[in-house]
Parts: sequence; C-alpha cells; structure tokens
Amino acid sequence: MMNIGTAQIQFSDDEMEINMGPQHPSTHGVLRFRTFTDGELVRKAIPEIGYLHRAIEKIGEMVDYNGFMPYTDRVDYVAAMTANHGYARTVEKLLGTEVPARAQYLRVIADELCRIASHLIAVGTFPMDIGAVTPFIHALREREKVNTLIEALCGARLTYNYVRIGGVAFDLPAGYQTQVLSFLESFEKFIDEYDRLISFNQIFIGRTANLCPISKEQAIAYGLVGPNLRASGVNWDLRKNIPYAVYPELEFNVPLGTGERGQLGDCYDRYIIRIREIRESVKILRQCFDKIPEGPIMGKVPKNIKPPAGEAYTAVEAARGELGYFVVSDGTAKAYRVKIRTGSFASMAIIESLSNGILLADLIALIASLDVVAPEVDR
Amino acid sequence: MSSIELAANKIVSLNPLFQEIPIEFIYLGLMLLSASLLLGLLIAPIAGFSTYIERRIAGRIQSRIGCNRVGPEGVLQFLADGIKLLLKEDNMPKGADAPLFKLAPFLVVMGAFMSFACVPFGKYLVVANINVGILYLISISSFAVVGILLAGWSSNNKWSLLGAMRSAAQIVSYEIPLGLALMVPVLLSGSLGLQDLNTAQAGGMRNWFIFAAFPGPFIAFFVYFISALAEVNRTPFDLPEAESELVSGYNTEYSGIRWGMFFVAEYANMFLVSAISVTAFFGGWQPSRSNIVVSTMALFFTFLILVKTVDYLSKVIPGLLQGKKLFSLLSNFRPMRMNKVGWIAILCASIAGAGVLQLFADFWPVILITFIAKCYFFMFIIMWIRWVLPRYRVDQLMDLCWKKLIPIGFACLLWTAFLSLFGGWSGLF
Repeated sequence: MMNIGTAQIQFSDDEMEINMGPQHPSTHGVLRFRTFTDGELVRKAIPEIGYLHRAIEKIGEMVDYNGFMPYTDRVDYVAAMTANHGYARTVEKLLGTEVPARAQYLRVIADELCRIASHLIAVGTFPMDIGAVTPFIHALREREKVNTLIEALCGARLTYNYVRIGGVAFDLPAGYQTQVLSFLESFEKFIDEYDRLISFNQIFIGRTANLCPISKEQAIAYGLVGPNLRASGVNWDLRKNIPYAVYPELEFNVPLGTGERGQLGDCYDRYIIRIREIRESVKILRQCFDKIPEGPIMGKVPKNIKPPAGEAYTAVEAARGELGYFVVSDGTAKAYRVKIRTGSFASMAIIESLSNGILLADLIALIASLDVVAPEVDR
Repeated sequence: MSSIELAANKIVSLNPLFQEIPIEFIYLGLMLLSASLLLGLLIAPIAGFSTYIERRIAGRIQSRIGCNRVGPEGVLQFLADGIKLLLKEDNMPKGADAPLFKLAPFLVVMGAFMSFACVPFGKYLVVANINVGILYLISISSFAVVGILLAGWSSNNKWSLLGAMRSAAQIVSYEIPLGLALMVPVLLSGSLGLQDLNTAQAGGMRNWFIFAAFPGPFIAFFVYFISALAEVNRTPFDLPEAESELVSGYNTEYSGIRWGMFFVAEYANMFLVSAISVTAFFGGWQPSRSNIVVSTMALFFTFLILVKTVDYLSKVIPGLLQGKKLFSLLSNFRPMRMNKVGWIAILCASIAGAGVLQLFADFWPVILITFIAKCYFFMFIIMWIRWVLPRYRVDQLMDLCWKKLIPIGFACLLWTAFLSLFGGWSGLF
C-alpha cells in the first residue's frame, strides 16, 4: 500500500498496471481499460467508460420529439438508421400511429444497409487488431459503396438521418433499385473473397478460435444481445422473436454460433456470425425490393407531437443487438424521460470477467470480437 | 589477397610519396572509404527505396494508389520522408534514460549496416571477405536486439518495455532455426565464407544449393526465410512493434530521425536477409541463365521509371519556367496513363535489354544489378506477406520456433550431412 496525495494505490510485487486508452490504436474510438498484467499475462482489465458521454438521453428530455430525431443517429454512428428506427417506433407506440407499409419497407432497407455497413466495420477492424491491415481497407472500400447508397437515400454519408416519426423522410430516388441490386451482386462476390482473404486464414483462426468463449448462461447473465449473444448459441433475434416492421413477411435465417473451429461462443464464432449476418442482410434487401408496395411514406402524425401521458419501450435489432428506447411522456411536447439501452454497454461489462488469464494480444482480440462501439457505450 | 590489399598495393605503387605512409593507414583509409561508399551509395538508397516499394505494393494490395506525387511515380518519396524526419523535433519523454535513449537507434542501425560489410555483391564487390562470414553475420545482426532492448527500456514506457521484451525473446529464439538452416549451405560449400558459398554455386541454376541434396536445403530455405522474417520483426512476426497491441512497441516514444533510424535499419535488415537467401540458396551473384528473368524485372522497372521521368519532367519543367510554385504543380500533377501498347513496348524492351545484358554477364555492373534484382524479389515476398497475414501471438510464435522450425532445421541438417557423407550430393537436375 502506498500513499500518493490522497489516493491509496495498491501495488502488487509482480503486477504492472498499464493504461490502455483512451488513445490507443485499437480501442475503436475512446475506450479506456485499466489493465493489470503480469508481464504479458492479463490479470484484469477494467473498462473505464464515459469518454464519449454526450448526455444524449438528457438532450432527449430537453428538446421536442421531432427535435430529438437527429440526435438518435449519434447514439451509434456506425449504424445510425437503426437507432433512428428504434426511437421512431417508441414514439409511434406512444402516439398510436400507424406507419404505412411502404415506409416500413424503406425502414427495413435502410436498417439492413446499415447492418451491412456496421458489420463491415466489425469484421474489418477485428483482423486489423490481430495484425492484418488489408482486410480492413477492403471492408472499408465496400462500406464506402454502402455509404453511397445511403447518401442517395438521405443525403449524408456519416450522420445519416432518414427515419421520421410516422414514416421516413424521402421516397426512393430514381433508379435506386438497380443501383442497390448491382451493388449486392458485386458485394456477394466480395464476401467470398473476404472469406478467402481472412476468415479461413490459419493464423487468424489460430488467434481467435478457443479464445474467451462465452457460455450460453454467461451470455444471458451479462445481458449480451445481438451477434454476441447468438454467437454463444442463444437463438434470440428481435426480428424473429418480437417481430416488428415488415420482418415477418421476409425470409431469412438467424445464424447461430456453433463453435465450428473451437469452443462455442469463442471469438471466431463472434466473427464468423457477423459475416453470415451480412449474407442474410443481402437476402433481406433483395426480398424488400421484390415486395415493396407503392403508397405513402408518412403516416398521420400531428405537427406538434404531444403524446398522451404514459410510457413505452420498444427495441429494434441493431447491428450490435437490441437497441431499446424507453420513453416516458407527461403529455407535453417534450419527453419526461428517455432511456436508451444499447448492446455495446453490456459487451463492455463482460470484458472484465473474461480478461483474467489471457494475453495482452488476446485482450485486444476480445474487445474487437465483441464489436464495442464507444459512442454506443456512453451515449 | 583481399581486394583492399590489392588496391592498397596499387596506391603505394602509384607514387613513391605514398610509401612513406604506414600501409595500415592506407588499409584503414580504404576501408573507411569503401564502407562509407557502400553505406551512402548502396545501402541507404536501397533501404529508402524499399520503403517506397513497400508503400506502392501496400497500395496495390489494398486497392488504393500509394505515393505517386514526389518525383516520377513517387520514387523520390523516401527523400521527402527523410527530410521531413530530419526536420522534426527530437522528442524525449520525461524520465527517459537520456544516454541510452539516444544511443539505442544507433546500435540498431549499426547492427544492420555492419552486417553488409561481408555481403558479396560481386566477385570484388565485397568490403570484407572474411572466411567466417556467416558466423559474423549471425553475431553482428544480434546488435539489433541490444538496440531494441535499450530503446524499450530507456523510453520509460510500459508499452515500449513490453515490445522490447517480446523482441528479445523472439530474436534470440529465432536465431537458432536461422543458424541451423544456414548450416545446410555451409555444409554443402564446406566453408563459412560467403564468397565460398558463391564459388560453390557457380555455373548456373543447376548448382544452386536450393536444389542440392533434395529436399534438405529446399526445406532449410523455408526454415531460414520464416526465421528471417521473425529476425527482422516483419509480419506475421511483428510482435515487438505490434501497432494494434503495443501502440508502436519499442519505438513508441521515438520521433524524428531517431524513429527513422529504426526504420532504415528494418529495411536494411530486410535487404540483408534477402541477400543472404540469395547468397546461400540461390546462387548469389554468380551469373546464370536464370538471371535473364530478374534482369528483365529490373529493366522493366527501370524503363518504366524512365518513361515516367520523361513524362514528369515534361510536365513540371515548363510550369516551373512559367514561374509556378512546385507544390501547386505537384498537387495538380496528372501522371501519364500507360496503355496496353506502352506496357508491351516496355516489356519487349526489357526482355531485349536482358538479352543484351546476358552477353555481358561477367561485367561487374551487370552482376551487381542482377544480384540486387534477385534480392528485391525476396523483398517483394516479404512485403507481400506483411500486407496479407495477421500476426502470431507470443505463445504461438514460440511454439512455431521451438516445436516446428528447430526440429525441421535439424532434420534438414542431418539429411544433408547424411547425403554429403555417404552418397556425395548431386543436384535435382
């Protein structure tokens, strides 16, 4: 025990405390881990959050319902449309608004494009954290194409904001269907190429298989959601289990982790499940363009939204799992309380318990495999 | 009699005045001259040029362009980088061990450059033709470990220290398979001298050691190459400077030209291990008919750069004469697009040129060019590997070394020794 100023710091003889982040090449934004190591062996990595805290929930209580819409895409800027969608659904539930079918399809198209964009970041940064730089750049090249598609849809490449309470902002631009379908064609070839480049690379499998497996029980206990949960073999996808929008009309599979290269729920499972979800998203997009009906894109929503007093919680299946909004209305133009439940927050929590006894290099692989996005943790 | 002695004798015979000077001083002067010529004119440009090539290759692999602004197709980028690094502030962290911190990059560079003293670039193009060349190389290249350890320790940074410890463990371990693999050609040539390796492989491809006593040296080459990748800290063994794990490893706290020195040393070392691969397994500088391939490659590149230079100058010089700023000219520069006819013309010219070079195969500049081109072939493979593969973990790295490479290296050595002892050895062909 040693006193420095007022703080008491416990030192162990063979323990080194390393500060990883907030500026560290592989912390994906500004994450910080207080890492206690014995040489390279990690004893404990304690996540320190809050570096990207922007008080988004509080802003939700300070501006009116429509005014909060542009803030929601900052909740998760890697896949912003799903964050829009979640908030819109909650307010619609409060209002009791019916959303027209065409708008529902457009939302799903936007969501799935965002899921592809987000998973491309996830499967791209994972190999980069393991030392292969090229897959990341190839993934980002494809992401740029997705961004172009999203730009055609809503006019922005990063802070896209498309979903509105009651519908969506714009209808499809001319020739959008052919644009997307031709992209999907080249994109499916890209996924095959990507698999050859990195997914089945022996060093990559050696680094990720059997690494930090999360059992079913553990995943549920820590409240993991989305691909991280499904990688542990739990069949839980909001698009299937609590269907919303037009997902019941679409056919797609929910890929589950099987531990094919190692144990169930290891880092490789978490990686490969995202590749498979990208393939499923491609399927969904194709069906959406087959089935999309004509019609209005906005439901009947009053100009000044004043939902009746009450509360509502809805969630969408975002790229990082269940993204839920809990909104309490007191009957005025501003929400009384907005609470956002994100997947990355739960993923951050499990890191500490998994980090005991792994190597420093594995810690980075673990963080990358959980696909933690810093703004989603802090909000 | 070594080439330096020959040259010294010649100088002494030129003028009676020189006979007054003790011959040792003339030796020393000649050695310093040849060493600085070697370093300044050959190794430093090779190391710098390699960074350019690496960036272009990385660009190709990652479906982007890479540097193409400074000079024709960006070949002078390394000069611009060097000047930038020289002008940068030389930062040192608080609490760093100043003398060691400053010394470390020099040790690393010294280790890399001193090794070149015994690398034969041609029959007479060798600074020190020592008869224990391989022993010298293996021992001198270990200087790098000392430098890296010092750098990591003196930086007063935990990431640097971790990088240094990794580096020490890695380089020391991989020296064993590296040494074992190099013993195979030594066994075949019967000498530790690098020039003797060359002599033993004279007379064309069939005499290359890689094909001798099949498959001993063939496998030994791969053992050597993998260990060499680890020795020079390249992917998949770039753990000491693993960017995503250790920020930048042992050189985290370095900036400016001190940082640059680590990288000059890295690229010089890459060239060194390529040169040793060529010398030990692929015939060294010995002229052979297969050289037509590498000289075509070298000429293709040279012609390409020549064409681009003409294009570059023809666009930049008129602008400069009109009084425009060089910076704006370069930022608006549109490099020439080569069409199919142009590519084919350059290819034909380089094949023809390679044929002509073959006629002068014993002329020393041709030998030098083909040797360097051969080395660059292996450099290319090292770079290719770097941009495609992920990194090993520490324990996997050690597994590979102790459980796989060392037994395989021993097996190759024993097999080759067995063949040399009983059957005599004959080539694959």
